[in-house]
Amino acid sequence: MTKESFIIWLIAKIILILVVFVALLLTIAFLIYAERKIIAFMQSRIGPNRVGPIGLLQPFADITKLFLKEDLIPAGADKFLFVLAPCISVFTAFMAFSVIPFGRDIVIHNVIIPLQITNLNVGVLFLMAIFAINVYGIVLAGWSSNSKYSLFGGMRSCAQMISYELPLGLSMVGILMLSHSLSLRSIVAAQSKHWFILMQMPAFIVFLISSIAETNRAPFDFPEAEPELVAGYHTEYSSFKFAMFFMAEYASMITLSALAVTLFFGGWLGPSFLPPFIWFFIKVCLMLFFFIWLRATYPRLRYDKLMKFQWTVLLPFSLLWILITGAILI
Amino acid sequence: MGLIIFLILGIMAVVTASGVVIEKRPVYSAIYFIVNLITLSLIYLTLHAEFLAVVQVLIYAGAVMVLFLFMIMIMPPVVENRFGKINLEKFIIIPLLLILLFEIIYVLYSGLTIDIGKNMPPLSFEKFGGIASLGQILFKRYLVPFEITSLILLVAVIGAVYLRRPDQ
Repeated sequence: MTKESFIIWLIAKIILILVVFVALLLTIAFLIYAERKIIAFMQSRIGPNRVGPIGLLQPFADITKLFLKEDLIPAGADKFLFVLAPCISVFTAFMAFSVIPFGRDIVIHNVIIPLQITNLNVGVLFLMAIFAINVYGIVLAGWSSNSKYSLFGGMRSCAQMISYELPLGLSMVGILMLSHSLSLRSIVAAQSKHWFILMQMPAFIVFLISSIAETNRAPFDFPEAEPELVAGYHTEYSSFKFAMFFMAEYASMITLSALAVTLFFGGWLGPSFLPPFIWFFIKVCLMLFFFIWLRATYPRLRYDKLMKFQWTVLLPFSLLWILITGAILI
Repeated sequence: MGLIIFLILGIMAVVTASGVVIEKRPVYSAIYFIVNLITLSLIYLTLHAEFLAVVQVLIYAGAVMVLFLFMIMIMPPVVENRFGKINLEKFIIIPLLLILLFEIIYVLYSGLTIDIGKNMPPLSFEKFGGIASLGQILFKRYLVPFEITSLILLVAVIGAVYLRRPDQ
């Protein structure tokens, strides 16, 4: 690589990172708005409609409100960890998106720029490692708040997220066997003939259930179950630190939707009348809609049943499915 | 460039490793340990061993240390002075540490004469830490030790389940 092409490559990468970051932030803002609107529609309400036309400026009003609120740190809290916990959450949630491919390669002055922040050849494992680190944000938030509700929320989510990481990881193994690669870019390329969901439907169901539990979304939102735990691990958080947890939850939701699209629905592949990243965006939006739909449909389950379901049903089933996939491939 | 990165990571690894021992609050000790594990995985990355680096974070930082932290959180947050009085443990640990140090220095000076990788198939530097080459070695050359290890782990799992059986 010559010096000139290196500079082009570097500038393109920096622009790419900025674009992805801003796009993620905007998607989070409008995802919160969309969630409120969709749930309102499903419950025969109107939803936010005061700020701007049909309430479209509501997310910005919410962000401004959260910025201007007083930032409290409880007297008994461990101050350093109390501040560190939301940072870990938001950092890992955004970092996870860096290996997701969202478009075809583009060529600027003979320099190939893939539309993906980094193409790791262990992309899938990297994502799993990031999800594993993500747990610390919630656990440390629960512990450092020095409050019983927070601690219970933290412990619950710790157990829940560790348990559901297993089927989440195992559900991807079938895909890896079909695509012969751990790089998400090669996985997309391997789906050019047909999407992997056609062959891996059971794995997709396992993936979907585990990803809902992994993001702590309803009906599996036990770490923040309101009737039992006030707000779980972020009970003591206010102002911007609360907003960071909120952003982290939605960012992980977007990343997991993007991962589901990449693994099972052909990523950015689609008919050529729309550009690839538009296809990617549409598919991710449909997955996100599914997440919201679930939240509006199902009541919260019971915590012990959730754990029992994982260890006695989901885990053996996903192991069995890997065996079946292997047997078919051989 | 590589040397500078290694120096930064090496210093971080040593500082965080000492932090694990010196820090008096157990939760902070655990966090030092996590940072140490992540630093080590970055050192693996500089050696082109991506798989090992990611697995290091995934298994140790992501699973093992979460369980450690889980246990620490259940314990009451009383800080005991672990360094106050001279006790029996110190008399055992210090000679052991000296022996370990001597062993490390001996191995470094003797120039690693133990043949671990003499008959290894030749690998290119880029592919060395990759999944494909690792899988080839693990499932062809070292298949029997690999299976025995998994069997030992299985025994450990069964043992753990047996110890926690409901009638106790």
